[in-house]
Amino acid sequence: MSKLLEIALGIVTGIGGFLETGSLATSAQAGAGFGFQLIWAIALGVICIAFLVEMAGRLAAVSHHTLPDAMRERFGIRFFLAPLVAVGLVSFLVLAAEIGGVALALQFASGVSYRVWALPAAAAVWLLLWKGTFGVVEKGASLLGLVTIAFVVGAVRLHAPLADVVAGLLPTAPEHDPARYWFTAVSIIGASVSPYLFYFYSAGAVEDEWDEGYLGVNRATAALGMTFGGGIAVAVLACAAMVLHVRGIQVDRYEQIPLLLSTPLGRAGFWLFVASLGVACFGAGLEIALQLAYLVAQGFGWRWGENLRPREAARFTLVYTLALPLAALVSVAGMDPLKLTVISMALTALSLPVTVVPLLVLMNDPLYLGEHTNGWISNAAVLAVSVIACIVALVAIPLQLMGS
Amino acid sequence: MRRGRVFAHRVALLGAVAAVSACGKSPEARAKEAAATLRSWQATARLVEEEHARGALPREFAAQAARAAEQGRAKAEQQLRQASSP
Repeated sequence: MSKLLEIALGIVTGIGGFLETGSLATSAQAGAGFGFQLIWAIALGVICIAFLVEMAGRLAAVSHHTLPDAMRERFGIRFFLAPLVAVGLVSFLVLAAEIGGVALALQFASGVSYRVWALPAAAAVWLLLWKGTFGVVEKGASLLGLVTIAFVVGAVRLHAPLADVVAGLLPTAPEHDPARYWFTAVSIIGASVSPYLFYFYSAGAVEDEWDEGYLGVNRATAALGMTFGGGIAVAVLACAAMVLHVRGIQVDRYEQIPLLLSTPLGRAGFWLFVASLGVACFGAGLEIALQLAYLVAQGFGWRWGENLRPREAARFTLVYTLALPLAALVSVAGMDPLKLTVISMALTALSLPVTVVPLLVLMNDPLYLGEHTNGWISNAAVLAVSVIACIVALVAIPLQLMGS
Repeated sequence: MRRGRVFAHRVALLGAVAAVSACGKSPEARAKEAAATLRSWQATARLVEEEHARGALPREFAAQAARAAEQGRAKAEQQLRQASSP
């Protein structure tokens, strides 16, 4: 019974925790720009992240190692510096985008500029990390994130055609603007396959003291949580296709995105959007700040743990204490939140091989996984998506940046 | 080994040249893009007005969105003028 409860809670956490500023903005851009045509990119990202999350959980449950810890031990500190820098950099950019998302939600609600809200938003994240426990951070934020189900209600109210949604699962060539099409596709994949998700998950599994008895829970949580979470991203895309694409509106600013819910749900839809953006970004901000601290502390072998008092893991605490105000300063400086979000998602896709390949090597090492090493399907799926996303990003990012 | 490295450098150089040359958009393409952006902002302004009129958007946010649409429209018009000028 308790295992079933764990699975249910894990799925709810997956649903509530999936949508954040990256998946929200990129799905909205995709739906507005290309109708239902880019649903395949969400599906590809969801398949990849479900495999990666399952692997990270399995590694933690079987070897009792977190990802950075195992990487440093297996490859040595010099090699570990490459994923440390890559994951650290993209996570910092994504953290800046999430803080910007919280600040924008507050701007939409109050009329006061997001640049004013950025530092208070970061301070609120910091306070909860300082005072809260791992359970509060993980479960609390994700449960509140269930407000994002409003997008599914919106898509149903708009009568999004199921046939078009299903047809969008098959990749097709763009009818116009190929550079923007491929750039949006890699941004969607980057948003879905954010390294913070599986690094955070592996640390969480160790914090929750998982053992081999949790392998079934892990598999169900990864597969169902990510699939249902991806369903919400598809709903965002469908709302954008039905509200914006049909009117010839492309998403160039965040101010256009609340229309996705206000059109089908009226004034309540507007407030549901503000709550979705604020809560989803706040939850993601908590997880990313914590994941940055995990990454550095575990990588260098420092004492770590969100369930410890700050003074018991001082260097771990120092990492998120420094990262949060720095991330907020990006918004204070006036960087366009939508550009920051989309570029950080594309860079995430670009960095995938650096973050994913060492994990795959670990997952095939019987010294860590015993009889639970990867099968060929998971190896092939993750490697293929990562390499393809990286190659497309290599071509699409310069084209998009120079084109705009 | 050395030949392989030279080949890899050539492929990388070719890729960079192809990427950079593909980025130089023609004036027609730039004008077309700016016109689409302009239409997008005009449609945004209309939708914001409709949504506000039927009470789906609070006054404060409708003003923010209208301001964003106005800024976007002005920028697109400027880009359109630049692309159209000889």
